[in-house]
Amino acid sequence: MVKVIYKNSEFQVPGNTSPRKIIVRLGLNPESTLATRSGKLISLETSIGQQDEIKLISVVSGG
Amino acid sequence: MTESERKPIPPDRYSRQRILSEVGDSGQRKLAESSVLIAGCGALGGLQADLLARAGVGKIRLVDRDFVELSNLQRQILFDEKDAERHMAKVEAASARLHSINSEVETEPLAIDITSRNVENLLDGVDLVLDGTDNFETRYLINDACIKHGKSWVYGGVIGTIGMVMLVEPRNGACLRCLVPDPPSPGSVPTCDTSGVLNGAVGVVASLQATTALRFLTGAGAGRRGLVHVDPWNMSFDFCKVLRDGDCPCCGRGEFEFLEAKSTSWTTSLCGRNSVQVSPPREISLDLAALRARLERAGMVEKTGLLLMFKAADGEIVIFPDGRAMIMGTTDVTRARGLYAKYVGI
Repeated sequence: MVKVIYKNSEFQVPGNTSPRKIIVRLGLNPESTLATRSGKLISLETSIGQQDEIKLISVVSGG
Repeated sequence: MTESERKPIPPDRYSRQRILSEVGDSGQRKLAESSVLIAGCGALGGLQADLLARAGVGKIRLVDRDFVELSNLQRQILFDEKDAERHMAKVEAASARLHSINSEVETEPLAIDITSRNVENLLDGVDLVLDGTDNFETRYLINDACIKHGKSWVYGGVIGTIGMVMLVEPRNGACLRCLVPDPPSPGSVPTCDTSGVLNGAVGVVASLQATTALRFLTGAGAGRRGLVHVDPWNMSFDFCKVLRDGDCPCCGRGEFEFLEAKSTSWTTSLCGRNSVQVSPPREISLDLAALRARLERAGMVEKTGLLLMFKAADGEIVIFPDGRAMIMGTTDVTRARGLYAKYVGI
């Protein structure tokens, strides 16, 4: 299972997927959500394996 | 500039900064000789301006399209109740406040909307741009203009309890479009209206932006490159590397789509406000005295600093010298355009 961290919450989702699929599965918007793995920004199309841990970050517009 | 032409640094004002090995006399002198553009002078931009003026940055160009309201005061530190009562233009109130903080700093207040028509001119003569805007439309314009003209800029955003910061240096790392290739669709990201904003989060983000600016302007370099993501409410501070995308339309292929879209929207509903901004279709300079004389025949008019406040039976309008108007008390774009046509004229 892939460990997904988003806003201080953790989720487990099946592996062999992509950040885009995870974002959609969690009901988030791929247009405004970034994914990082091991401290690096990754493309939403990156292949995510069973043992991966990714963090999702919402893009911030206010100011 | 020769050594003798340089402005002397007063001995006491910056003493706590000059004794920092990271700044020193040399860094202080560079700050005094520096010029920045602060794009947006609300929550983030206001604190950036405050910190940079106190630090002794020589010239600060302030750009904002808005005026001060009571709901700003929870987080916009340059303004007070008198500014809100008088509906002062934000740049005008900010400039006065900055002068009272540090009279040596030169400010250039511009009460205008940043558009594809003027953004390149706004970069003239500045060493760095700081993002104090509250929308992606303007940020993508700034990104295009800065990459095109080789200017660095410091992205920052804040909403709710979270915020993010990233320095964008042309030809040296990622740009905004490497991070987020296209702006999120309108209505798809939270706004201050729907999510609110914590003033401490504003403080953290603006402080990181101002510190990034001080590093850059003193010649200390960018430091750690990437995206900082913070949530001070939950004591969370994250960092991630962002690689430059060689196929990025902006910094990779040199296509400046936002800059080249010369038309800008006529009307904008304002974040967190029951009002609509109407902009003229081309750049103009209004004769506010003449307009005031005309409007006095239709309702109550008051001039507050740079702006005209107009109240009639069917609406309330705040009019800016660049021809923009805020139609208050409505989110109905058609009605807003109608009132603009009726009273300001198209």
